[in-house]
Amino acid sequence: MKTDEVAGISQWKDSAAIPSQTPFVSSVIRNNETLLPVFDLAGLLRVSIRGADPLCLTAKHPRGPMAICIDGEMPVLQTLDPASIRPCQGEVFDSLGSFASGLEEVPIIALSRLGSADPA
Amino acid sequence: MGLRGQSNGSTAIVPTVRLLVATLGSRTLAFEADSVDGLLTVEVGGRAGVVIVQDVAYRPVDLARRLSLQTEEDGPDRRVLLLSHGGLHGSVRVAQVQGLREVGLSQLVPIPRQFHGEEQQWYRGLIALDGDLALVLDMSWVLHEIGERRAESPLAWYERGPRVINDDPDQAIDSAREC
Repeated sequence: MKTDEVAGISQWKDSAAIPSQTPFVSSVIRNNETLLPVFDLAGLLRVSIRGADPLCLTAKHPRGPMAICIDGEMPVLQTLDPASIRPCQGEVFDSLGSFASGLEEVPIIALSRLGSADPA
Repeated sequence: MGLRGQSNGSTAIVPTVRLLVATLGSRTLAFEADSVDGLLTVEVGGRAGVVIVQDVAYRPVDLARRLSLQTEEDGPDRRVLLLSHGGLHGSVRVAQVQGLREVGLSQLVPIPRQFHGEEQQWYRGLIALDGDLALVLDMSWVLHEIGERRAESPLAWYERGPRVINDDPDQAIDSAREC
C-alpha cells in the first residue's frame, strides 16, 4: 500500500462489533477519543492475522479514516521505481498494480477504495 | 456574582437524551426511554405472540434476528420491553436490562460513513457507557416491521393468540433502576 494512504500504525485494541450489512465492515475501534470503523482486510483476503500482538493500520479513506488489523510484524517501507509497477488483475480488492519482490508478485492495495460500493 | 447578588453567568442548557440500556446477544443496546412503555418479565409477557396491556397490543419484534445476534437462553434477568413510537407498538425481548441513563446528545456519535448499508437506518448512533459501546437504536426502524405486518390480514395476529395482561400493569412491570 502507498504510504500516502496510511495515516499511522499503532497498537491494536479490542474492537466492538456493530451488526452491519456492509461487507467486511462490522466493528469499530477506539483510537484515542475517536471511533474508527474497522475494515476486515484479513477476511477479504481469507487469511488469518498472525502473532499475538497485532497492529492497527489507520488508512486514509474518502469517507474518513479506517482501521485495519495487520500482523504484529512492523511493516517495512519500500521505494519503487514507478516503471516497475505492473497492472494487477484478478484480485478481490482494488489495486494500484503489483511489483516483483524476489519470486513473489506483491499487489499494491488501494486503501482508499476499500469497502467502497460506490466512489465517495 | 453581580452587585445585586445575581450570577452574571448563564446556565447552559445541555440537550440530553434518556436511554434504557439493555443487553441482547452480548451486545449493549440503548432504546429511547420515551419510547419505552414498560417492562415485563418473560413469565408475564409470554414467550411469543402479542401482549395486550391496557388495551394496547404490542406485537413481538425479533430484534435478535434483525441484528443477526446470537440469543441467549432465557434466564432470570430476561425481560420484555414494551415499545411505542409513531403510533406503532411492539415488544422486544432482551437478555438483561441495565437501567436508565441520561446522557448529553453530544455524546451520541453517528456510526461511521464506511457503514454504508441498511444499518445506517438501524441506529441513531453509538455511545460510550461505562467503558462499553452501546448501539442506540432508531425506534422507527425497530418498530418498522410492525407497520408492515399490520398490512397483512388484520386477524392474523389475533389468531396466533394475543396474551392479555389482566394484572395491574404497575405490578406486572419491573421498574428500571437509574444507573
